[in-house]
Amino acid sequence: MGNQEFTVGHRVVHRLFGEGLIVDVRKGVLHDVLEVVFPCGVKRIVSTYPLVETKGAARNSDAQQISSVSPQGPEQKPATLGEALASIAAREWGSAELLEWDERYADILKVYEEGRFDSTEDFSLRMEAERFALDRGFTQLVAFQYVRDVDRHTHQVAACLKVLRELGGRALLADEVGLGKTVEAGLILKEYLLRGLVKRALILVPVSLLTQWREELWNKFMLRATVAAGPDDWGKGSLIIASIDGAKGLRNRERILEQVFDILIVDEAHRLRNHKTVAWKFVHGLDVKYVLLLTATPVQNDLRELFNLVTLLRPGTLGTYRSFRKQFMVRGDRRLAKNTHSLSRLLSEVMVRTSRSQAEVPFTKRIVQNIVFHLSEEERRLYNSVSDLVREMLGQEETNIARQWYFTLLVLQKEIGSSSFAALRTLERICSNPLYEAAKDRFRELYDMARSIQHNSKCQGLLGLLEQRKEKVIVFTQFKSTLDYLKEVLERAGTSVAVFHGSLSASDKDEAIVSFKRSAQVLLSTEAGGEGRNLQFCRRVINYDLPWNPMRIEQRIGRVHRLGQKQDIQIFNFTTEDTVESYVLEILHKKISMFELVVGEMDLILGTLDDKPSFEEAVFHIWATSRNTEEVKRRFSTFGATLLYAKNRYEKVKDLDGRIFDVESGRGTR
Amino acid sequence: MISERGRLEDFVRRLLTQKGATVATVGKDLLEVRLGEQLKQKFKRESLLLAFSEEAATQVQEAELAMPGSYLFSHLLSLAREKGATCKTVASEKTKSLNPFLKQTRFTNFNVEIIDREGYHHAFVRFHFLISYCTVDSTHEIRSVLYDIALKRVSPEADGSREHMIFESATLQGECLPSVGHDALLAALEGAGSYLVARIRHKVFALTARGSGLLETELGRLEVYYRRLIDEQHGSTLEVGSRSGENRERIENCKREWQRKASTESTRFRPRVGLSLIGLEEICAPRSLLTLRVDAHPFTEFYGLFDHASGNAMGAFCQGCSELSMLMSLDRSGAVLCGSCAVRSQKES
Repeated sequence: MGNQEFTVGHRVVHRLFGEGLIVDVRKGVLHDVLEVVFPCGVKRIVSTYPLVETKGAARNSDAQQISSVSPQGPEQKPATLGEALASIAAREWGSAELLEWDERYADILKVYEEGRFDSTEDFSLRMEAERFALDRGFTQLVAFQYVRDVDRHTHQVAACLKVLRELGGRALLADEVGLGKTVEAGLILKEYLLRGLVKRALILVPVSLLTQWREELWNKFMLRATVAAGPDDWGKGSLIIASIDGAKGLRNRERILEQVFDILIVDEAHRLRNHKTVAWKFVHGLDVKYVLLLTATPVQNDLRELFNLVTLLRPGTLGTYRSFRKQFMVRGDRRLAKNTHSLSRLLSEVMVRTSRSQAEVPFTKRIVQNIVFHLSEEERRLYNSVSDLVREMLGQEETNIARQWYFTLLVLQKEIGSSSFAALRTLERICSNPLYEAAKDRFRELYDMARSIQHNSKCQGLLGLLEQRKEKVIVFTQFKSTLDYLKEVLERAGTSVAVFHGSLSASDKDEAIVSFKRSAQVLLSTEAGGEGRNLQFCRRVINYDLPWNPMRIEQRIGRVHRLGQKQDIQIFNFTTEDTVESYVLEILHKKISMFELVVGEMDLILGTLDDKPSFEEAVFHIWATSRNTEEVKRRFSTFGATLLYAKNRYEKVKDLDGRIFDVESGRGTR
Repeated sequence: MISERGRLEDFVRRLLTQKGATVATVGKDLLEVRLGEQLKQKFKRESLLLAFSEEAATQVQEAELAMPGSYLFSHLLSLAREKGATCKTVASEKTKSLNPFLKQTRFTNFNVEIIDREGYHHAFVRFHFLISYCTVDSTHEIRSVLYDIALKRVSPEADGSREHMIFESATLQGECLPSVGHDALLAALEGAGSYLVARIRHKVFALTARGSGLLETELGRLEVYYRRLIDEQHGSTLEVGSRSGENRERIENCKREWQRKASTESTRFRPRVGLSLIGLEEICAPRSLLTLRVDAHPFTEFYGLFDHASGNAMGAFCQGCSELSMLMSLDRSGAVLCGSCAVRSQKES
């Protein structure tokens, strides 16, 4: 044994310590001194000790990693401090590549050399700040220091730590709906970025969630992401968000494969359940260090879907499909699993799932009250006139005109559902725009009608409601003009108001929230108020107008009804008779009981429908192309039935997933 | 013992006071802060109500949580980081008297008297480093390490000599160490960094070994999976002769994919150790260079060093090797020597 040559990277077996990896060999006259890492720790052993070499040389990659030396070579003097330290690391650690020396040291030296000393108190405070930043007494996730409005929930912290520590950054985040998978993914991403393990990230999401992801990453995690659409966008920035459908296209696919990404996050990953689709093949072809797949429903119809998702993460975890089928699938029913305990054990190597019952967070009730108002005579006349004009113009045969008008009319119809003041500004703009010359007189007439209206019935109702109970309340509206009108009326009535809208600077937004938290009774907010702000201290929401997009409604409610809310929340939906909003509310509330759903479920229900046309477009289409009230009712009823079908389908999938994953007396795989 | 929460509150109080705010305790774990002009601009408001526990934040709705993890706290941290990367301190004197020198230093076969005393400030730099161990598994850890380093080699030919001391005493007149020059400072930083790199080698080995172990497991799993997949394809090739070409292509694809996935895995488990300089502190310690004399024939004069900051004798300079020593003896020739030089001198004579 004494004559044997030992090399760094070889494995040896020691009689007492078991198998170990040689990490250093120091040459001596009589014998060499080996430094070996055993499971019990690092030991120094002389080479004459009887050691058995096990597997010969370690894998090439190990050996390279361990034995690489400074590129400068031992004799050449390193040019920079970084190189000097790298050569020390090569000597001491066996690899220069492991060290990442922060070159910003030069700034500190410069300040010092220029004699620009700070006071000892400043210095002491800064060093203490650095220690607090490291503080592990509160949490071991560094990311929490650098996020805002992200509450710390035990199940989320545990999920993140499990992914980082045990799963090596490849995980299927399959928490039940409403438990914050997106936040978990954001925290993991931030953690890796802060630790320097991730430099570039690719986030693939459904088209409908592109903006939401970008805004959440900024609002909560202070991460600026680029939404990529064309082939030239993939190299721009370090965080790229793209739609799965866009990315998998031939035009973009090749470009993406040329790029280096360290982490891939796929939201609504159940869309990758079929291994025969281009999307699955595309994701499987990406070579990325860390992969996070987010879905509340990994299995929709077939256990193979689960196998396919796991194969994207860690091929071989569930064996080959042939062995998986034999071991875990019940013959004759592709949805049923057998040997569930073994399956659960294997899945725990790649999956993090918390059920709502496991999460130690209270979920409070939503108490919904729909308040229907009667429009005054002049308001009704304006509403009907706008609707008639919309129908008439979109009914014209010249499709070019229809397209030209389409979005203006869509906005106008939504505005008139909010307030006459919201419509007024658009009508004014239309009247002064030469593009709309053909129908200028009709619009002028509407403009005059809108201008003559001084009060809106809904606003009087709002004052009455606020008077009944002096409790904090958020009033949501889609339009800044409506917000301005409400602010004026409420302030005149002596109500303290804070306003929050998209045109405010970031600091003004913060100030508005603080003012609401401290003193104001009412927060008037446009949709921008629904993005990322933590407003759990309030439990009342008034939807002064109703967006036609259920996701927007859910985001509004989600500001107060989120994890950590301790009280039941009250939602007041303001509508007026025979308006688009009243039909939207009818199908969302009465048909599919949307307000009783958990945050996130609506998205899954809508996800089972086709992406085109969008919910909003479908609503507008029904409204604008129906000839009379009966037809409107009938078509909205049919639309409601489609939604109900989607909801039932979702319920079935949820049930199936619950049966597969929540084995062992109702506990999940965590 | 101050609790973590108390330390936190004290830190925030000191920080905000330093930045011109007026801070008052208004309840348990609650501070009311009236912001000064500088901070009003930053926070865009006049005052803050800070809570240092979740209970306090829940009880007082207007209060904002100022604990690690909260947005406000990270705002405070960045406020602290705006300044304070470098500072200069002068250590205070523990004792002015030189009596401890005579008590602590042992003169084996003679007595001494102090005939002269020259005060100066000995300057050190202390580098504060942040080490981040970045690994894929459980060893996430960030810690701060302090390292003391004295700029001894400011005058290369006079290390440890009286000239050197006089050179360093320049700090007494208000000059600072930057006068030693960029290269000397860089060399000191390199020395400190190298010391640190060497010191954490066992930790790095453990991380590397852990990474290698994990990599091995993952590569093993991939091997089993792809081998089985290839075997299954082989089986199909034998069964369905007409489609054998297609299957062979699949087998080749499998092999390529295996290679690709294996190479991705090797990057996943490689640890990284981030090292950054976060602070630089110059410390001047008051010292005395003493001229000593043997109190009997041959009345040899030699030098000693005393550190007033610690109240400890640094020793006397050996006339043989010029090193400082706490144990001195007088040899036959009249030289004052340290223990090892005295033994050597005895053998030679």
